[in-house]
Amino acid sequence: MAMIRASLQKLSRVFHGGQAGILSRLATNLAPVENKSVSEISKDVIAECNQLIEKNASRNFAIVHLLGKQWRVTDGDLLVVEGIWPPNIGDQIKLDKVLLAGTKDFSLIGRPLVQPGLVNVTATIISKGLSHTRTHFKKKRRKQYMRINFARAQQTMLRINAVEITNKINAKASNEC
Amino acid sequence: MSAAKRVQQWATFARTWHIFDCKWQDPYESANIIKKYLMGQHKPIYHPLNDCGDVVVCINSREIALRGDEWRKRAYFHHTGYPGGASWTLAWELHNKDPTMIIKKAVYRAMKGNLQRRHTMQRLFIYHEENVPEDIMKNVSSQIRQSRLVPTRLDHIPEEEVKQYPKVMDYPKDYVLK
Amino acid sequence: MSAKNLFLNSGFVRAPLQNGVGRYVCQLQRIVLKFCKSHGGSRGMRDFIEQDLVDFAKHHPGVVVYLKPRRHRSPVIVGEYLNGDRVWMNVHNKTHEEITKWIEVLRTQQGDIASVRLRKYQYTDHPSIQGPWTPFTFKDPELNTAELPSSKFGANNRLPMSATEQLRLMFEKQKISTKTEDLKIAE
Repeated sequence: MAMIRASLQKLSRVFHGGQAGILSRLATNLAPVENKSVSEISKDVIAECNQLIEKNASRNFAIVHLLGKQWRVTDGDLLVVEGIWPPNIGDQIKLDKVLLAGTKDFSLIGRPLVQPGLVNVTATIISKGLSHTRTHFKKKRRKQYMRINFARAQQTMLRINAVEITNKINAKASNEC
Repeated sequence: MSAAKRVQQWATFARTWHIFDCKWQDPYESANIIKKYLMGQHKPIYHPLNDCGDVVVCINSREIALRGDEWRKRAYFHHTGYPGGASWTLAWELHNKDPTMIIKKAVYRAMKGNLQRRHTMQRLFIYHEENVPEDIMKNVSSQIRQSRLVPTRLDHIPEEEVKQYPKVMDYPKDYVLK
Repeated sequence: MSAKNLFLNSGFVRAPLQNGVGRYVCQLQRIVLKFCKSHGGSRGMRDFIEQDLVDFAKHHPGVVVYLKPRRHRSPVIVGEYLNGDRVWMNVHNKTHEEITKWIEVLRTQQGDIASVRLRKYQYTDHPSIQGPWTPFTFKDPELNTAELPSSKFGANNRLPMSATEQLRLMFEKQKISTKTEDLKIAE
């Protein structure tokens, strides 16, 4: 692997003089600035992030998938979801489908979800009622066609209680054996 | 509003000036790209009601490339409003008269015909060559990527480089090139 | 202005008294059931009162239940909420099941939410955590010093590699590998 990279670098040097710069987008950008392999750099980054998590340095946010929609949530947010949904008022629920979690300094991006057990998003249902009456009015001119329908959708309001990064990055989840 | 917030507002809604090189580009294809920058659709803060469009400076509009035989076939229609006032101008004729016109019309047509369109067009500057007035050029801080590669002509490549270029095969000596 | 706005106000998502932060408080405080003891329009209401009302009151001790018999008038449910809202609902000729459902709706909602058209379905005190976007976010810092227009920033860098490029790359690779082999042999 190292030899290939070295040869690619050599290649890029060969081509860099020319106007075409074929490899400029392949090799030069990849060439590490320091003499550090990629894995070591990523280890450093992960250690740094873990420290930040421990310090609880800033507010967290997460993007959760809820009833077919994606919501960006942080502590104390209010969400209103529409449609029939079983949870009732006073229920504490955990939003498990976390697509992305982040703090001020770093983001954890899921592929598509972040590692289960890493991020803990909890919410309370605080209200569940019906929306205002929506009027669906259709009319076609000169065609003796007119329809009017009324609809009220169920609206459930959620309060996000906490967005926590509970585990360390790349550590085993507590329920994993 | 605190001073920090005010500055934040300025920063977020600041207008950026982009430059776009029309050399060898299809004007109708590039119009769709330019349109996005003019209307601000490339920004995450985009909303049809907020004024977040950028300024685009097009250069080298004389050197656009139309597809196929569109130079001969595409006609631009104009009507003076009087009876018999209709006129059709072919693309090559229009381009000879005003080399900025084709790209301007392409961008204009790429946008929806609402009240905002004419104001958005005010933020588009087109120059038929590379020379741009200094007061405009000094604002430019970004560049829009072209959609097509600009080909290099064989006679513009130095002979040494052509000779060094790897060949798959050589023509036999008695082969007659047409 | 459309006539719709004259009757329906619009608003944003709000919850009274930080409800749900730390503890949850049921927002329905008082429910008044008005009905007639003899008319048929109150039949469902009377059924509800006979069969379900005691259970309802037992399960929801936070809600005060008033019964108001009124002679020869249609049955009505009135809910009163912690934020001062009052929801009045006519249940004339409604069946027992329908009334059960409507009372459940009144109990679970946090006020007169049907009187407001929501403009946004989310509320946050912290709209941005990593900082709001500006035109300079994620921009290549090289752009600051670059002489524009330049082919580096202007050329399309997302085109697939052409066959010619690939061939040239293969050729160069071959050249290098033969060279390194030569070197190895020389060593």
